[in-house]
Amino acid sequence: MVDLRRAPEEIRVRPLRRAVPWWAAHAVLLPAGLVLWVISLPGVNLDAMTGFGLVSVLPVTYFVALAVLCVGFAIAVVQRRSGHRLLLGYTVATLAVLHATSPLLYSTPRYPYVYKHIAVMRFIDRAGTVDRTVDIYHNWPGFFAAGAFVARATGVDPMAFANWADPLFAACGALGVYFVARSLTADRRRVAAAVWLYVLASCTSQTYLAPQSLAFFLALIVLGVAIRWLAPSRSDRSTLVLEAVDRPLTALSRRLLQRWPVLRRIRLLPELRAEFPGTVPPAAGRERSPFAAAVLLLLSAAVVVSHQLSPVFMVVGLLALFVLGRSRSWSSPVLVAVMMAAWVGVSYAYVSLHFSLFAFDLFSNVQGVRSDVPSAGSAAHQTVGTVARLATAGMLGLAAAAWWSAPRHRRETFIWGLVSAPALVLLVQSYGGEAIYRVTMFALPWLCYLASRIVVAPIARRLLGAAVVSVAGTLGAVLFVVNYYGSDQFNRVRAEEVLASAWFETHTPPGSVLAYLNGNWPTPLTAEYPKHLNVDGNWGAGVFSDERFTGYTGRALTPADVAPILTTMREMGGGGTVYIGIGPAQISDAEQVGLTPPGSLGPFLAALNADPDTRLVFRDGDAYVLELLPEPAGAAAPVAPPLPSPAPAIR
Amino acid sequence: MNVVDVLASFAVVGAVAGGLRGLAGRPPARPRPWLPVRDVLVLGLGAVSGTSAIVIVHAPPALRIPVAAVAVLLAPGFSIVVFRHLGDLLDELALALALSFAVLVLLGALVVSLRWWDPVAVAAVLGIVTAPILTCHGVLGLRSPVLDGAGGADG
Repeated sequence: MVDLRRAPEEIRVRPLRRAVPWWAAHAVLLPAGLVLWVISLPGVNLDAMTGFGLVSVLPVTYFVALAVLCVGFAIAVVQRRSGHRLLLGYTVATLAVLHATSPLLYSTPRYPYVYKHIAVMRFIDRAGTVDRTVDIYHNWPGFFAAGAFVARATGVDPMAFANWADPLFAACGALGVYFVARSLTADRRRVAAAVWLYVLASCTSQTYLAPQSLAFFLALIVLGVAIRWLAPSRSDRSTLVLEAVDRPLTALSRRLLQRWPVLRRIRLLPELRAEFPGTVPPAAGRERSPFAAAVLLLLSAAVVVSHQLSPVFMVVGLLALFVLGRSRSWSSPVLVAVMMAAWVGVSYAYVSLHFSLFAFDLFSNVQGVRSDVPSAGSAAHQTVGTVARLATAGMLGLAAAAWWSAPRHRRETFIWGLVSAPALVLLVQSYGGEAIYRVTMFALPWLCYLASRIVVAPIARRLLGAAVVSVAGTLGAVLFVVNYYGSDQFNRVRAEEVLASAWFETHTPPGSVLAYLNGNWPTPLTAEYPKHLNVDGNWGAGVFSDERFTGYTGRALTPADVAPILTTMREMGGGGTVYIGIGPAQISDAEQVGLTPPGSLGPFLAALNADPDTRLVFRDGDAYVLELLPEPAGAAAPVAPPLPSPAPAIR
Repeated sequence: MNVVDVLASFAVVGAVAGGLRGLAGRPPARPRPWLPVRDVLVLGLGAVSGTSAIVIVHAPPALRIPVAAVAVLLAPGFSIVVFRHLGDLLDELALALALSFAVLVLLGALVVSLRWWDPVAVAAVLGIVTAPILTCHGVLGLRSPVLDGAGGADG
């Protein structure tokens, strides 16, 4: 009944608020974000890319689309009536905008190093087997055999679906985080928030067509299975290790707090045993051991036969779960380690010739790839690197804040053990400078889970909460785009480079060797690639990347360098003909990352092309292949053959 | 009629047999939501898996690609996951996808090691194994009692 004594304004406002349903904003924001994304793509001019890669040519509408989706997510998160499905809907939309952009824009797969994986799949599909003497991939063939299987079953060449591996494995990673988070909490809104944070923060995670992308997803599921179905009961002995550490640490903490009461204000030290390492119970109940064990072993076996390093992270993660009292299975890390050792034993003939299993140099192991490059690279390149570190540090800070702000008895301190465990790998291996990136990759899901608590925490001032989440989310999305696409000036592989690379593998005699400036060339590519290995069994050699070429990195190459470089190439050829492949991605990469000063390669390449000891044998656009003539200059140079007509089918 | 066609026929027969088994068997006591997304998905996967070999060999690419992709990337894993009801469709999708990848990887490594490289035949064998399981569980799930009250869709 209407109270006529109340002010007219109150009577008018209240019915209007009830007339707008709570989901109205989402019915507009979610589709609007996707539409803005779709309409932003046709106008992108890839040839206008600068040092900031794809970011330099993306229109404003692209970033507005991301902002709209983040605002929508923020509104949904503060509205208690909005369920987890709506939050997941925004997460899926954000994932599509971030990861489906490159396959829609690029005609060829991104990253030159994807192509060697395509080559292995093509080899397996054609030969029906592997050759363990060729390279490391033939010794860990699981992922490549699966890819060849899918290619044959669908009739789609690996090159065609490689471009879409990015969004597929990004979605798999998000699903893995969902599975792990659901194993840790029954709060589905928090699970959705964890996945959303992961999607925004995973700019350094690897989602391209590669064994590690699949292995990461499988490893997350393994850890989720261990938490969910192998949780200990009170009678299990798995908590003994934890209690052995817990008691003295809590006693020490109490003594410190009694001596310096001011420490109580920083709320870091536990006061009761229940506050360390966290008493939040597992979300799901125990499962019968045989099913859980069978699933765990099946997934682990697939990781072991697919990738060299990922099983190590899995062992470390399973061990950490056991030590932290979250899994009763001490045998699962042991079994995985045994499987891993057995597979290394099977492949030891190749591994022992080309790699060292252990590198006990922590300082070197934490250095990233290209840490030996004397220059920091261009300003754009440095900015992209800084953005990656900012994004990781931001997620770390958010996770720490979420953990610290929780009531002491609800703190999930054990998660920090899972965050830190992957770093143990750095004690024994650098993995060619990539280990540090994999450590970040495996720590990120746990950080996102910790941080998700603060995203879904109830807040009285909902408008302020929505604003903070919107701004933080949009900032995270922008950082993602800058880091993920900011190096596309050299990560993008042009179609002409693919054709040039394929020409070498299909038109040159067996035993021919490929040289280039650096490894930023889509090679190897075809099933023919084992015919063109170097004398030491490796693939190709780069002026800036191979140890046979000394003194060139970090300075400008000049025409005077042509002769000694060609001499080194002849020696490297081992009697076979040497071909030199050059493309725009190599040039961009060399100049952006600091291998050579920007703009300095022009005179060198002009001299290389004009040298009488080289002959142009293939050109398409800015990509070309030179043949290094075996006879010294002075003999009558043969007339260059006409350039080939459009490239043959690449198989 | 070659070996693949024979295997494909067995897969189709297996899918139908699984469905009939589901009709004849006792449905689980666990109630289902009024919108049984999961059970329909499982039944659909069974149908796709049962017919995948025939589609791969005889259908045009527009049909072959999605059917083959679903048959090798989802059906194997779901045929394991259906034995444990996780109560969350996304959870089951994550586990099923992981298990499918694992089956693909291990099968692929095995056939490559043994030099038995015939992916279409292997896909047909996979169909023979997975289709009956999926169709049976899908039909059983659809026959289970509907949840009273505010039971929504799966997940």
